[in-house]
Amino acid sequence: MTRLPNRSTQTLRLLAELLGSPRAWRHGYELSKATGLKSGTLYPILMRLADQGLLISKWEESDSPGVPPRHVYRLTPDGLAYARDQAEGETATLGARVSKATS
Amino acid sequence: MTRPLHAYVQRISLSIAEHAVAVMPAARREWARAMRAELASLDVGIERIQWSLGCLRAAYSERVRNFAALDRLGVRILIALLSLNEAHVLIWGAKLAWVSRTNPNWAARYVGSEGIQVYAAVPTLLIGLSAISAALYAVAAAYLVCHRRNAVPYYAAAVGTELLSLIGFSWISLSVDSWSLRSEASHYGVWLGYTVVALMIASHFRQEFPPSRGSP
Repeated sequence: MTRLPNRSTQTLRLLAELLGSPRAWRHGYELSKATGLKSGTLYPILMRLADQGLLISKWEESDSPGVPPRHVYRLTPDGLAYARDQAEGETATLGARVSKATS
Repeated sequence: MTRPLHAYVQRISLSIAEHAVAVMPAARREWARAMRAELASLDVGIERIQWSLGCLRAAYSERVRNFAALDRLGVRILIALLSLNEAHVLIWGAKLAWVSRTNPNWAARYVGSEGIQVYAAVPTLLIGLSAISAALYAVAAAYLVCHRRNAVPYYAAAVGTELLSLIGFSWISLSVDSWSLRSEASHYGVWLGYTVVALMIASHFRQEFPPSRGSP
């Protein structure tokens, strides 16, 4: 049985970034820049998400000569649903904290 | 950045990424190739080195995750205890070096009258490095038992700082007297043994899964 993705800050940040452009294929370096995650943190998360069927990847040929193909990623429908759930959960938690702080 | 340095950084970062591909378990090799492929899009500089070191960290973490022997808690506890022993040796060495300055008579009971000259000559920087290395071993041991994937960078840092302090300490012992030279030669022998084992392991990975340069 595959383990459910953890809810670490880094995973949530990556899911939020991928959710921001759900149809786009994203490169690892681009995701690293956008999320601030180093390659040693980013790729293990991508691997786990792919294992759980939440992320899909493919090799994309480059237009520039001499540049090797790059691996690109985007969320699967299950991944999108999971990322939305997580984002809603985060919003609800944040809302509860704000209302508690202001009451 | 000058052109020779530019080429050197490019070669080093590519070599690190190639090694990461070789180390990554076969089922995950595509991911290591994906990380290596990204190098072509990075500007040459420290970022390339950082990226390739990240690849290496991920590869070794996956390799450690896939070590069947490490699935057993008993094995992890045994390795953790050996690491704690190493930490204890390092702390003890650092303490002797520190006390040799303030209370040489006490330290001489453990290292002898000849050895005290060496320990007293150890600079504060090396004592600090030993202490840091000991702390890293302790943290690595704790992670190995509880969350083994996170132990990899701590072990790498612990071994690195220990090597630095050992090299410094050996250099000082050479400059102080010949008794210590003989003593430190045994340390060098041990580390030479570790290095040979590490190279054999690296070579094994390379033979088993030759990395391909051209293909993704």
